[in-house]
Amino acid sequence: MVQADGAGRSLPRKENDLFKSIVKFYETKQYKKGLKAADAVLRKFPNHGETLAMRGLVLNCLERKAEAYDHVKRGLKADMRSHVCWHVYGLLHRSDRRYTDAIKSYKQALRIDGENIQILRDLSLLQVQMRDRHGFLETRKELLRLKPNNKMHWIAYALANHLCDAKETAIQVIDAYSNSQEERSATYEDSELALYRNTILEEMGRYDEALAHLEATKPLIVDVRSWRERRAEMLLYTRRQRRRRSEEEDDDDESSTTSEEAARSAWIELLSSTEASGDNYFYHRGLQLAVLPEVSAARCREIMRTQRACELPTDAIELSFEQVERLDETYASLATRFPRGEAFLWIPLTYAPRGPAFERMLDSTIRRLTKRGAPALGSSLERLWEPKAGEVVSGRSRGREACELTLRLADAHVASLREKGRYGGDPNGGGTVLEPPTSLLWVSYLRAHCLEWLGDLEAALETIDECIRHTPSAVDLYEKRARLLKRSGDAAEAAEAMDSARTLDLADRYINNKATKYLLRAGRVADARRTAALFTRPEGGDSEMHLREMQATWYELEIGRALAARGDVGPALKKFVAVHKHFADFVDDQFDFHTYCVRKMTLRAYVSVLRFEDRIRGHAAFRRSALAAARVYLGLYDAKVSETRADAERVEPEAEITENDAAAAKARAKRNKQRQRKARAREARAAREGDNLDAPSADASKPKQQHQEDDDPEGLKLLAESRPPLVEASDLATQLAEFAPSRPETHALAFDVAERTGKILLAVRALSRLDQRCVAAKYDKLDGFYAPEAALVDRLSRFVVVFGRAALADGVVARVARTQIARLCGGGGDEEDLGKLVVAKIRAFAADSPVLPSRVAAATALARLEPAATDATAWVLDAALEEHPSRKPLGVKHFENALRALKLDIRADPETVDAFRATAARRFPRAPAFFLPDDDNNNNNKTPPH
Amino acid sequence: MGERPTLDVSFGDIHTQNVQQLRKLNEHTFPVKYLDKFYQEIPTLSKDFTQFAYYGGFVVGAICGRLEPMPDSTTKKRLYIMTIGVLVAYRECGIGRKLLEYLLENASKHPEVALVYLHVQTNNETALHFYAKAGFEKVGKIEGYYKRIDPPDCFVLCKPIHLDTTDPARITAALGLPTDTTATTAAAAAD
Ligand SMILES: CC(C)(COP(=O)(O)OP(=O)(O)OC[C@H]1O[C@@H](n2cnc3c(N)ncnc32)[C@H](O)[C@@H]1OP(=O)(O)O)[C@@H](O)C(=O)NCCC(=O)NCCS
Ligand SMILES: CC(C)(COP(=O)(O)OP(=O)(O)OC[C@H]1O[C@@H](n2cnc3c(N)ncnc32)[C@H](O)[C@@H]1OP(=O)(O)O)[C@@H](O)C(=O)NCCC(=O)NCCS
Repeated sequence: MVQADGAGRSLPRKENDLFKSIVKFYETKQYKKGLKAADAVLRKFPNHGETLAMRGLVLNCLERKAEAYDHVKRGLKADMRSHVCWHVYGLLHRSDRRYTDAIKSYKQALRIDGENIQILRDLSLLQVQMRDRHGFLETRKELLRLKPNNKMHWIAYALANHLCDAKETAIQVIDAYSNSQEERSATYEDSELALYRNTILEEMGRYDEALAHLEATKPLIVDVRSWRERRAEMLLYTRRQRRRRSEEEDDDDESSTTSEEAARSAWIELLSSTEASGDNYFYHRGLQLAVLPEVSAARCREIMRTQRACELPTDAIELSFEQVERLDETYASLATRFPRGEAFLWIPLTYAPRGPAFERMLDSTIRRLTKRGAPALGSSLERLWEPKAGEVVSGRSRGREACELTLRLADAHVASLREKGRYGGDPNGGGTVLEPPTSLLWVSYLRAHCLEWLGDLEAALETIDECIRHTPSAVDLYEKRARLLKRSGDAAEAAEAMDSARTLDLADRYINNKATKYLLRAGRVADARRTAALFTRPEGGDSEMHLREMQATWYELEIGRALAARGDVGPALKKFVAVHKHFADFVDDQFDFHTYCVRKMTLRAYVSVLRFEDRIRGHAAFRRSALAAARVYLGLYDAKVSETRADAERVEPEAEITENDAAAAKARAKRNKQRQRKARAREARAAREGDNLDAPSADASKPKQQHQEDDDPEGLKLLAESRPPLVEASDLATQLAEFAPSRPETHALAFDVAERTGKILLAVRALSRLDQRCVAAKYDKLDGFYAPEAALVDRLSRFVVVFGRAALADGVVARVARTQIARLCGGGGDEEDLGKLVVAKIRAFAADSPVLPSRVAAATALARLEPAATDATAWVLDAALEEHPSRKPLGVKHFENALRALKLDIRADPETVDAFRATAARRFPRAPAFFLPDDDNNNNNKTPPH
Repeated sequence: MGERPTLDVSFGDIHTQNVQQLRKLNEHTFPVKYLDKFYQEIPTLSKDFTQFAYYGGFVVGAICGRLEPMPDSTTKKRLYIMTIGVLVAYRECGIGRKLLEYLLENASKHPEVALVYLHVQTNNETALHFYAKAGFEKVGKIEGYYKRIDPPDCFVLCKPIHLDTTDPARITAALGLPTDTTATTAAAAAD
């Protein structure tokens, strides 16, 4: 890795050879020998900079960090003009993931030796890793200039252009390279390069050219499937593009019908190519668009590029009668040709317009799938009951209506199967085939699913109990029962139920994980740990460590939440930080791809990995861990504030913070000192151990691969080493703003941080982002009020409380803040009376938004500004009785939150609280949260579990 | 029950990982409750004589047989069917018969198995039919066999496998009948 040329830097022959051997030993991981060689040089030339630096590099590989940095720095001091020293410094930074510092060091090295290929290459890797796209382009250009004979340099340069959006140049570079090749054949590399070039053409919207290029390169292609997929896709776009042009030029294009035909048969061919491809929804998307030539090329491409999983163009496109017929015909003929292809039968149900035909289709779907034993049928149908934002609903049977229809059909079948052993409800006099007993089981199970979705949890439980009596050995049924208990608000019973379901199949990791999760939801952390440990390697030592190594983020998030809920701050933070680290690891894992993919020419995959990594921190697990950790930090801060407040008189927010930070800084300094002492002791120990390692093989293996024991299970060290809570929280908020900018919780958090740091402009910015950037998150998946507007009114009221006075001050900052807040409140009104504006906004929101979580947010906000206002509690009570006509009813969590808010934030009078409690208890009779205080006996009288 | 479909079942071993499914099955099939000891023993027995029947991915029936020494022989064994049960919803679809066939077929491959026998509550017409159909014969009756259910009496049913005698007296002796009516209560049934 490190080049030794010119490194002798006035060393005599013998020492120069020794120096070269250090480099060799380093590269072959014989660190012990490397150290010896370095020592031999240093005995004679104790100030030889490059030797010092190399010794540091070797020490770094032996995990002797402090010594390593010390050596490299001494080396640099002794020889500032050595590119070797700078390069080594860069490598050291890199190994500690300080990429920006590493880049700086490499650049220093290049200032001295600008044409050093090795350093240029190392630099380019870091640049692409850090997405310094233009720097990367420059470096690759330089490398190509220096070594144009290396084919990798051409490819990497093309890629760099592509990443910089210089697609035209990228194509030219690829062509220049290809033309310089003697002969092209169907090798994997040429094939990949051709397909890569083709994706760039597509990204540029040059579909005709892409299609022609595909035809021309056909003989080169090894990955035939990809080629066919690309061709089918280009056929979708090109004819439309052509048609639009010809429409504009007002002449008709005769080739269009034939190319429509070509597109359709290309997709049908793909769908029928293997047994499994009939279920490939990417192909179904292509087919639907081929059958719908009315859709523009741009829309087609957007759909093909953005839809995921089982999403379909027909979800997003309103269809005419004629289009429905066309699609139906296509699917009907495919269904006859491929009787085993379930998707051909299922998909028409998803776009069918409301009406008898839809009902017949739904009914035959229920028969077909319950007969086959599909426990997931209800979940699949939920896409009709609960359409996603942006899906077409008009003219289609959706929401409660669809769920109730399913329930009616299921009811009829249950009755008929019980009585006659055959499906019923058919206008032609019922099914003729005698059904196996499982048909009744699965129809009943579907029935339970409908009842659950409709919010009738007691009826769902009864139904599932019938199922259990029917087939008491089926784990799925007990799992469902546990979930129903959870949805009923009884986390403890739910955990019991899931745990006993677990005992039915001890070899089933899925149910084991479910039981773990449910135990955690019930706060039974120790039991959950024991349960999770059942599926870890016993020889892996500590099971928590094993789960961390396996990057079991779901577990870390759940246990972190459970720990945080009971105030175990340190251990909780440890879990959230672990998830955070997994993401850093995912990002780091790219390093292997930068060299490998270019060498192996897997360019399409490489570019998609880079794009995937760009977005990876938008993943739910990252979001949740960041959010949860930030909440813990804010909690720590608040606890400290109330401590201080207990001592001192009330202080202004600004002053409070500085004081706190000063106290924290002092504590930190003390802890730092302790930490350094400990670190020194640790390193001394490591050094001693290192010296005992003699065999080169031991040296060569990765030093201290995995620590089997967690040396900080309580997270005390973590807490001690972290920066002040507000700094940590604000850091997390910044990351969320970058990676999850459209989530309401991101900006809500940003506000919560700004509120505490007293930064008025940051608070205003968070509020306007909450207003403008967010998409509504689904209510029932979240545990706070995260609907953007609900979060907004809540934070607006807090703005008035915290910054109200500051916003009235003179000066630009205050004026900007005033104007912005007034704008957020709907404009107009008196900017000098923000309180009034916000109250008006709150009232308007409450009037518009009758759902419980919104009303709770509004009531909380109002109570904060006008404690005497009486309408706040009425909003909540009304909302508790309100039932949305078509949506899924709200979950128990929302009622629990509302009750808590009524008591603590809104401070409603006892009668109101009790009235709400009673309403909630009627809906969730099993939820302990809504029992009367002396209701403990009731608790025991519940229907006994199985 | 009216018309019944015939179901294609598959078989699977009973082991410690899934033995709790046997407990669920038995709780929904038999009037008596088996003790933990029973469920600890089952996974240790030969898979030739203990087996689950699966339909649609679920356990719907099970047979549990165990080899016992013959009182009058050092080489021969007798095979005792502790339980055979099919979930109510899955009965009369041929599953019980298939479970019994599984056991009988395996028994015939073991030359040391002299006979298969079991106890049936005297009022269990279904089971009596079921076993009669499979070639079992009544060889005795034990009064007061069951302690908690009524009637407390049972029949002893038997089917020869590799039996070197046709003398009914030897058979009843081998089964400890009728002189000693308590000796064969080895079944964990009780409680
Ligand atoms: C995996 C998952 C899809 C399964 O969901 P599920 O158990 O069937 O639960 P649902 O789909 O009904 O709802 C999602 C659950 O996430 C919960 N949730 C919401 N916000 C959460 C948060 N910040 N942290 C943890 N869980 C959260 C919801 O409360 C809901 O739980 P509940 O209905 O069990 O009370 C879902 O739990 C999830 O997205 N988890 C995190 C994803 C993750 O970390 N994946 C790691 C893969 S690398
Ligand atoms: C006895 C039992 C295992 C039979 O299982 P099954 O799967 O229903 O039986 P099959 O469908 O295989 O029936 C086989 C034969 O038994 C007979 N039989 C089964 N149930 C019967 C009934 N209710 N009435 C009359 N005969 C019956 C039939 O003759 C049948 O032959 P066929 O199919 O030619 O008519 C089942 O009824 C059961 O679990 N009962 C409760 C537990 C029990 O009593 N076990 C025996 C004591 S250990």
